[in-house]
Amino acid sequence: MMIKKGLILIELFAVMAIVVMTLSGGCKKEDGPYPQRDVFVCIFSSQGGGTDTWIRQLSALMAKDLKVNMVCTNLPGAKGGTGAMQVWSSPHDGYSILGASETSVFFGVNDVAPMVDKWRFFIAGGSQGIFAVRTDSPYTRIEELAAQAKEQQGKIKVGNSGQGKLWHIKAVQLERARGGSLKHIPYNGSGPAITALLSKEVDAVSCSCAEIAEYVKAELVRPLVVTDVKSINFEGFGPVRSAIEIYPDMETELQNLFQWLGFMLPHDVENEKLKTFEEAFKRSVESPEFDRFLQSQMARKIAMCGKQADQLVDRMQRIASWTAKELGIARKDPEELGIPRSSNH
Amino acid sequence: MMDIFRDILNSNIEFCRHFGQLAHPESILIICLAVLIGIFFGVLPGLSATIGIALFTGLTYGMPLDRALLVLFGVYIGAIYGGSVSAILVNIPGTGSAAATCLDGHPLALRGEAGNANILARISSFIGTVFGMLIFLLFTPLMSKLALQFTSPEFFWLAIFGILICGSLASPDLPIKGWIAGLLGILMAMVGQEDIHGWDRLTFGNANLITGIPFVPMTIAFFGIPQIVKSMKGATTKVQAMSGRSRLQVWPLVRRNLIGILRWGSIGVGIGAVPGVGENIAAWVAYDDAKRRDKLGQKFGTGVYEGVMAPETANNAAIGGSVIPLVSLGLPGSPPTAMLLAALVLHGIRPGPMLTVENPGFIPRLAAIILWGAVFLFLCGLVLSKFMVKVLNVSLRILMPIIAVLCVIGVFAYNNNPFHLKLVFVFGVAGYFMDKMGYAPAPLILGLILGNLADAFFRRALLLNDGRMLGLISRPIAFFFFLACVITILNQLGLVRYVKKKYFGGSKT
Amino acid sequence: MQTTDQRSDSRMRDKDVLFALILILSSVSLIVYSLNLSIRAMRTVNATFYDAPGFSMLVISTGLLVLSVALLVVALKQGGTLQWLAPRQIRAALWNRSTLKTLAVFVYLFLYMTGFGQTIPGTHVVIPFWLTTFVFLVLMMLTFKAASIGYIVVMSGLCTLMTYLIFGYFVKIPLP
Repeated sequence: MMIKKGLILIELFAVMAIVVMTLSGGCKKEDGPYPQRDVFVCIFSSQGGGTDTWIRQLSALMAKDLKVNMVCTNLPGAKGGTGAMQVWSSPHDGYSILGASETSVFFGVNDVAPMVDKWRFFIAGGSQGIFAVRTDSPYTRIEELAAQAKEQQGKIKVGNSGQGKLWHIKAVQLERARGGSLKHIPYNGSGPAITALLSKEVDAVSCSCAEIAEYVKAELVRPLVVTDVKSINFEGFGPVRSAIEIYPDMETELQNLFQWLGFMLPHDVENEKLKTFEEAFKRSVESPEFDRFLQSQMARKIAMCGKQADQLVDRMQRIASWTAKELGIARKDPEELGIPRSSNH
Repeated sequence: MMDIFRDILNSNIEFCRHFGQLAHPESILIICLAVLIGIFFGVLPGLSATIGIALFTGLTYGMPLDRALLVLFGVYIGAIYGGSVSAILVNIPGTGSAAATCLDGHPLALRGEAGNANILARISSFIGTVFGMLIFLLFTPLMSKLALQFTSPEFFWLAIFGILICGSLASPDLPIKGWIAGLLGILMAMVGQEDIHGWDRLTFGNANLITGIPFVPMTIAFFGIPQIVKSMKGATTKVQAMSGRSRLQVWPLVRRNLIGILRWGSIGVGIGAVPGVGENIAAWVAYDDAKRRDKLGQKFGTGVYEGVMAPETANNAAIGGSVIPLVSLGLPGSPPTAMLLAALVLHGIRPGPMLTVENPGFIPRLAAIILWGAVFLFLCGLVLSKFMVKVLNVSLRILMPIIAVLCVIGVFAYNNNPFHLKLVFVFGVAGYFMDKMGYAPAPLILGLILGNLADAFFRRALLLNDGRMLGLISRPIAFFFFLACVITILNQLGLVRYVKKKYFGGSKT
Repeated sequence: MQTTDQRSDSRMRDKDVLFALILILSSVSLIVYSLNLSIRAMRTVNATFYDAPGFSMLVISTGLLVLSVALLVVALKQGGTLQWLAPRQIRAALWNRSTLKTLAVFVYLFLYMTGFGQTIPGTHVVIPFWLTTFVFLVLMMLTFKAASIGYIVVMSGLCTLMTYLIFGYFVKIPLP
């Protein structure tokens, strides 16, 4: 009796194993050029966010080019560390890649995942930063706000999307460039920061152009300055100057720290695979569909990979890490990590 | 004044037109399926409305916008209702918003009125959804102005008000244990990186804890795991499916509670409309309101019909409420609407103040979709609940391991992070022992939802006001909430004194 | 009826005494922790006392301290003691069927939940979801004698297959 039942058990096991194996495609051996099977894209932030939207769009374009599925899953947590570690602990065979944003330059100081020199970067684009006030605000030009900030130290309240996040650092850079002092109020994301601006809790907000565009169109918000290198033409408002035009001395800072979105692969993936991926990536970001997407997101194209991207990210990591340390939010000292201070810092 | 009136009339006509337009077999089929799938997501512990919408955002990418919206709202409405089913039948809230439904829903089921509780939950959800839809259709401009009155002090007092509910939640043993559980919940909410200075708190160097202890998996840890263990041990009484004779007369009950339903609906819409709060808190506040106003207040927690109606009305009314700031300001009112925002963006629509200007028909159309969703929630629920109560005929020792598997999948699906499973196990063990020692899970979960909100907004408000405490109550709405909190505290102190007398046997003067 | 009620009540108070002591200890250490955090923040990023990261935690843990002292007092007054922690009583309390059953459920849950998505030690092979689920279901039902073995195996197999199909394929959760 027992033996019979045991047999049934084993049989069922075997049947199930076969069914599941066939369903999941089993373990295919790799033969032929990369990519042979589905590529897993691990997005390091949660569903519905900006990074998510970008990576899914990019993946769809890449999938068409590479002629395989790009399966996107979200693995948020630990400031991107959860997703990064998932990719890092998978085989470095080019079939699991990380969908990332500029947050990854904080991996080192946050002590959540291998630092930027352990990755290869494929940067597609990103939205530029903006510094904006309400339409009923007395400031119509950034210079007026700057003068006020100098006169009344720490009186002007500026909302941002979180302590030590990109838009906070942008506001800090702006503050330093003109010598005034602002009061930075961190919120949990750009949405709440904009809410605070609209509900008159803060006087200004630092966020991305895309996030503020609709409010500019509705004449609720007045953009003062683009906290990046290129000036932007806002629908319903007109052109807005970039900070570089007003404060030329900010050039290095502005050029080396900005929002970007794209893919990351472990650095020791085989070179041929990286090359294939790079070519497909380049074709995808140059496609008209991607241009349309950029337009809808009010974003600019960066389209950078290879050595150029690595150097850029390295510079970005320096600025980001040391700023994080100054703000007291670095979990690990950049000195300890061997991140040199930027020359201009 | 006339303008407003005309606008309302116009939008009504528009609404009827859209409603009629949607009465197309194809649309009906889509929304019916979507609601069914939504209920399925809601029933399964851990799989929430947010996850359902996230999934279908991807799947509906290629569809025309209208059809995609039908699917997404169907899933949303179905999921918020579906949570109540598992809350009532097995005392594990299927979604976070159904945690308050456990308190009276499960005792009802234990009494052999699982069917009745289900019917009540369904009808309340239906009424709540329709109520939310009406407010959304008629008062969006007004409500969005109100929502913008909420600044940090208001958020802080709202959170405190919510936390004070802990004290009035029934605890099976000493009342003081309700407070202890609540405070433990708040402390759990403190884990992770805080919002103001970005410092780590209580993370003990674990990178996975930086983002904090997630709330949805914790409902499984504190409601699900103790329930699974107790049922496997045979320590729980078997829930009886409804016996035919005790069939409840629903409509008289609804008529009797009409004012209450209006109040709970308003609470749901109001809290839903405040950006970033959402249906979880709405359900708790409505439950508390029902308990305080009802003659049977002391009996809440032992299976009172109103205890099921209030949270279910409110959490479904919050759907309409949370869409208000989404379409008028581009700010999501709840976590699932944050997903909806992303879905709309993917379809080339940017919700924001310009949306209603550029697409004047958008609000009536959305309202019509929500109404259809409500109708199918009613119908699908009718069919499904009969079917679902049958689950109770399965032996608990077979049912519970399966539920355990579903819980594990739910926790994993929350963020695809196996670490959360370990976290849930640890807190599940803690939850089991706390349950044995007479600590109710409800206040703990409430503390976990609100702890961070209260902490961050308190310190943000102080930062904004240069550390002046007076800034916390200098705005009218903030002051109103502050008064409400004070009154609640005084009320509870009275209660505490009464309880003390009872427990100390009058030894204290 | 009255006596059993009283006995269970006093047993509850016994546990309360222990738990209150644990709570007091942990709230004191939390107070120290939060003060330490606040002071560090006030030194390095010039936060004020109120907006320093430890402030809310300080308030809450002070509240917890007060409540747990109150709990201790109430429990002691109602006859709670720590005598049940004597080795013999502990052994008696732990070594019974009910505790063993609880332990069994927790052990299975522990193995299932911590084994989820882990690799087999020493290799790169991830333990598949269907295997752990199937084994978990079978063991759980077998231990508690839910039904006949055949039924259990068939039921577990069906459930595993269903969950794998529904969640892995339809809902697209990346199950291991």
